[in-house]
Amino acid sequence: MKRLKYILMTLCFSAAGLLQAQESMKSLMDERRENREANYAKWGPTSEHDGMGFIVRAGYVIGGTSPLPLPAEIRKINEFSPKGGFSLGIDGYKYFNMRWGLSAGLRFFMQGMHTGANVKNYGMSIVMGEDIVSGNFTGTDITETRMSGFTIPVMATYRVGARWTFNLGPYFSYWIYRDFDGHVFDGYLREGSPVGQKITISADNPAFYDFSDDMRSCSWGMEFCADFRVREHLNVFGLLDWGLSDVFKDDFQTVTFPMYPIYATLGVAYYY
Amino acid sequence: MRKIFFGLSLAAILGLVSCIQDEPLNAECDIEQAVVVTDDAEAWLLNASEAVQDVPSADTTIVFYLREEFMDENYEGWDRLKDVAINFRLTPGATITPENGSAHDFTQGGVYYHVTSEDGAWQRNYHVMFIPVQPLTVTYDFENFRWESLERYCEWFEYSDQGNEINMWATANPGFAISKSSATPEEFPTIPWENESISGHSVKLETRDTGLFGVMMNMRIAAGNLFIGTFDVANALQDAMAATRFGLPFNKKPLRFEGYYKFKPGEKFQNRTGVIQEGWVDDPDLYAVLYENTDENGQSFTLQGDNVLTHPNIVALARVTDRVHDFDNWTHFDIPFEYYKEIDEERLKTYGYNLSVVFTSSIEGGAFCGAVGSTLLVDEVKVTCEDEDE
Repeated sequence: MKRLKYILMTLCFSAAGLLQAQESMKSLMDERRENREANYAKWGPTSEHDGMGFIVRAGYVIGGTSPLPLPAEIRKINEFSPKGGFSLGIDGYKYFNMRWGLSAGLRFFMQGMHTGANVKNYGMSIVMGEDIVSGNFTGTDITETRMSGFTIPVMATYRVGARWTFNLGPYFSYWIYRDFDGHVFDGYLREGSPVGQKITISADNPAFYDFSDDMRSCSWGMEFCADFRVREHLNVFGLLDWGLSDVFKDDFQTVTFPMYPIYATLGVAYYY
Repeated sequence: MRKIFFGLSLAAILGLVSCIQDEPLNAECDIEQAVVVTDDAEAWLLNASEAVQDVPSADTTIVFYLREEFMDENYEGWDRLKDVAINFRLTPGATITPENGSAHDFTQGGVYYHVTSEDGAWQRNYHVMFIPVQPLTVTYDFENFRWESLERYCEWFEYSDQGNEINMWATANPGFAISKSSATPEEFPTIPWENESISGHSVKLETRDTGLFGVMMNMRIAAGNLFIGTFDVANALQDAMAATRFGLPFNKKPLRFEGYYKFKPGEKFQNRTGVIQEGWVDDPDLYAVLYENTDENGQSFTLQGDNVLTHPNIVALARVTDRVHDFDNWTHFDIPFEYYKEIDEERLKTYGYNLSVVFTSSIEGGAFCGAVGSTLLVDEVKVTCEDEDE
């Protein structure tokens, strides 16, 4: 009988202890949530005060226009240098809760690159008016492209933490200015096919091309942007515009594979 | 933090660079060079340098010329042609059947070789022949022409005394075909011309605009030309002066160069960069040149665009110098060869000289200067030689 009493008492105490532990855990979590909310509120908007605002972004653009994946005919990239420029824009955002929101913006950008590559048996044709030279080129190619225009991104916004925000969504671009030109040299063209007439194209007398007029004026793709709050109202950000549309028009045959613009912007943003 | 972003973006770009795929196997299947295995080339081949031939990329026929004695079908030397080995230099990775360097009987019209590319996707058939030297003919009426294989433009040839076709005439038409793929056969710089001739056809040479490709290559015009020699299309864009290879082996002493022509200059003379030169009037050029076809080391030598009138190997020249601009009437010319050196009879006998006869509608066409529309008609040309049976 005495034993039973002990057991009951032990059970009661342990239940009380459990309850007490739960209580303290809950208060700790509440405290943390409050801390987090306070932290979120400190670093940016929350649903409590409407969750709307603007971000003004200024950055520098680097990247390139490239076929994806690189065709086997491209043997070696000898040189690459971004020929970007600045990017300036404004995003408006709206949070629906503490973490999730939506943003849309308008940005002016300058993009570009300079690249040199060795190619082997690279199917190409150059169209000049009604004349066409086509065949397989082995040698060196140097390409330079520049574009400037406006981009409208529409992105879902997710706050990973108080200071980190990730944005992901589609973008649409309009190029006001665009050019794409270059030259081939130090190699030869087999006219028509690999068994055709060999035409030597030397470094002394390269063949120039200019496909600027064959570029689209509109493009689209996916944008990913990561913001980090350095201090109140000030972010640093990195964003990547991954083009999903060929930079050339559909009826453009000269470059036999699609070329996609893939450009990153690094910069600072002011938000309020 | 910015460094991290910069690093990430750079990694993305380098990522693209590092996706370079495995090198594709070679798709080409050329015989680049053919070398006859022999210790005494001079005893049976036309000359010492004949045993080694660089094969132009467009050619699938390789001809080794034999000494004049082989013109006699019963000449005992033919026996050695029953067992001749040739070494071929192929595109790397390409394979050849019959086996490279194997000995074959070349007395039965030659041997066919089959070359397959490293990737197995492309093949070419080559016909290798040994034939007696074909002496150049000396009267030209420009009636023998045919379509090239793709029927874009015409090629001229002559018949030897034995009735064989001799492909002695070359034009820059193959180069024009590259730059103006849209050109119709009548729009080529050098075409057969029936409307005006002394008899049958004459040949019409007209300086043409090479279009946007010409601008791209800084070769804005193509003068009409016709010459004894070969045109090396592979070099046409790289070094145009080296692409016109003037002259073929000849064994007579030329004395006079005669024939008929009509010429009218195009309206606007332009320089290489396309700038119109006010007051400049275009001229044609017609000449015949004889020169030593080996250099001081005994290697074969060929005159080309930039030295055809100036090289010290030149032995004799006959050039039309008064250049009449009259397109209504035929102008007759009859010019004696002016000799700068004595003819070496031994050299002459062994085809140690080359003869070229050259016509062009723009005198500076080789340097891509001239007037688009300059037109030269030529007909009934003859090179009179010493000891020739009239």
